[in-house]
Amino acid sequence: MTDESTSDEILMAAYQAGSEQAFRTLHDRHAGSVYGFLARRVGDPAIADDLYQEAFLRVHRARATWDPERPFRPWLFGIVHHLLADHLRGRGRSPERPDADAVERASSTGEAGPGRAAAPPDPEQAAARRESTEALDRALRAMPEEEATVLVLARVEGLPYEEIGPILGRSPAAAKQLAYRALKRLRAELAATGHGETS
Amino acid sequence: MSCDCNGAECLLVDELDGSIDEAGRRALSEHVSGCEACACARREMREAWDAMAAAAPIEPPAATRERAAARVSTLLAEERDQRRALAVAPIAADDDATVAAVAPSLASPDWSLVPLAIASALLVAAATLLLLGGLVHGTALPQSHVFFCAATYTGLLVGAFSWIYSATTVRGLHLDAAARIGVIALAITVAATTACPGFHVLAWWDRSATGRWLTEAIGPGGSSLVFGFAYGLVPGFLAALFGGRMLAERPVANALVAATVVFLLALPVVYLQSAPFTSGLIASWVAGIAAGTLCGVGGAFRVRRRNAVLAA
Repeated sequence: MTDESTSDEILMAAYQAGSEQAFRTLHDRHAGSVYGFLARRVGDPAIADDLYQEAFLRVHRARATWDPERPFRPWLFGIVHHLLADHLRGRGRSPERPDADAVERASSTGEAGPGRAAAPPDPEQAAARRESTEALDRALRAMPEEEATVLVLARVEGLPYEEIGPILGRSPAAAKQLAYRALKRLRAELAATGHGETS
Repeated sequence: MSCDCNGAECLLVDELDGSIDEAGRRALSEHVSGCEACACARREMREAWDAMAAAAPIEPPAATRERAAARVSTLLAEERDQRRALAVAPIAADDDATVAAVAPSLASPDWSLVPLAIASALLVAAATLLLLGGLVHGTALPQSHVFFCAATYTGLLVGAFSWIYSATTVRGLHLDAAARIGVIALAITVAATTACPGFHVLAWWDRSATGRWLTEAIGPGGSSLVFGFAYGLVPGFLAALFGGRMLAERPVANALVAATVVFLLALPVVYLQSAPFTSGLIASWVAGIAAGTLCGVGGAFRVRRRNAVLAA
């Protein structure tokens, strides 16, 4: 039953009731999204690792609060977002080490994820893509936390603004305005490092 | 129809993720064709949006991934052991059947505690009846009301405490929690009745300024309905807020069961205070109590859930 066709919501209901297999399937499904969300924003693989552990512990502790009538992913990213916000607030938003290479290197020792699986075999293209990714990660870390979050949730996770708004404690319209400002800021950050033109 | 620059901001965002509708697309195109600033913003946002394509998910290192899964697995195993040790509803074992059934929590009631539960419930019922007898002593209420209440209270309390002691959870319905909520609501109701002059809350309401005003405004039936709603709402809300627990499964069904228990336990009090009102007026009062109880319990469950989310 725990195959690709089983929805996150069904798995989460089973996890609430104590099914370890349901948890493992959910974990496998969202590991890349959660780790990517955290690793790109903190820069340091060791900290990303700690936050990743804490994220799933928080999910476990809070699993009784998930409403079966609501979609699972916004709830998951609500927890991850608050965890990251707590962390960034705790260290005054100064990046530990804005070293995208470190995250890339660390992740390359794990399994190839969706982002890696699509890596082109051409070394030049691979290098160009890697450079773009590093520039983007640096730009995201330089942005205010909520602005980076709204972009990742909308662009990478594909969540609608109706679901992003509650995660950030805003209305959907306010989340869109935040995304507008965030995109302008991101473009400016990328342009400042010579990566403004992507097309 | 065109839009202004503020409206264009939202439409530009909608355009990027494809959620813009045809009317929005037309309005945006019209606006952008005459607004150089927004046309420029549109190009810049598209660039930034395309650049975000590089932010694909990153798989965690295998060791990181396995450590997180193992920690949660350990916690789940500990919870299973704790539940078994406490002989309460066991957490489902890890198998596909659990997923298929979406966690119905099919726990067998623990009947071994029922005799103890009945004995203690009888003691509590006796104590409550003594209190009740004291309350009605000296009032003009008919003796038949008191006897009826005695029988009903005993039966209901035995049932309620049986549930509490046996910690019964059937198909995701936490009957034990519902019983606990019901008993707390009953205590609040009895306390409110005790505080009421003459121990007759409906008569008190009927004589009060607000009650008289409502009777004039919407009739005696409407007035009783409103009072019944408040009568059920407050004890139901307080009891579920402080006596309930986080019920993740079947929240609507659990709220309904808890509200039913509260309502049933309130009925003897209603009957006790029914004289000398007409049956129609009492029916309105009871209907109000039922609705108020359901709203109160449901509202408290939502508050608990929200607090738990915030705490998490």
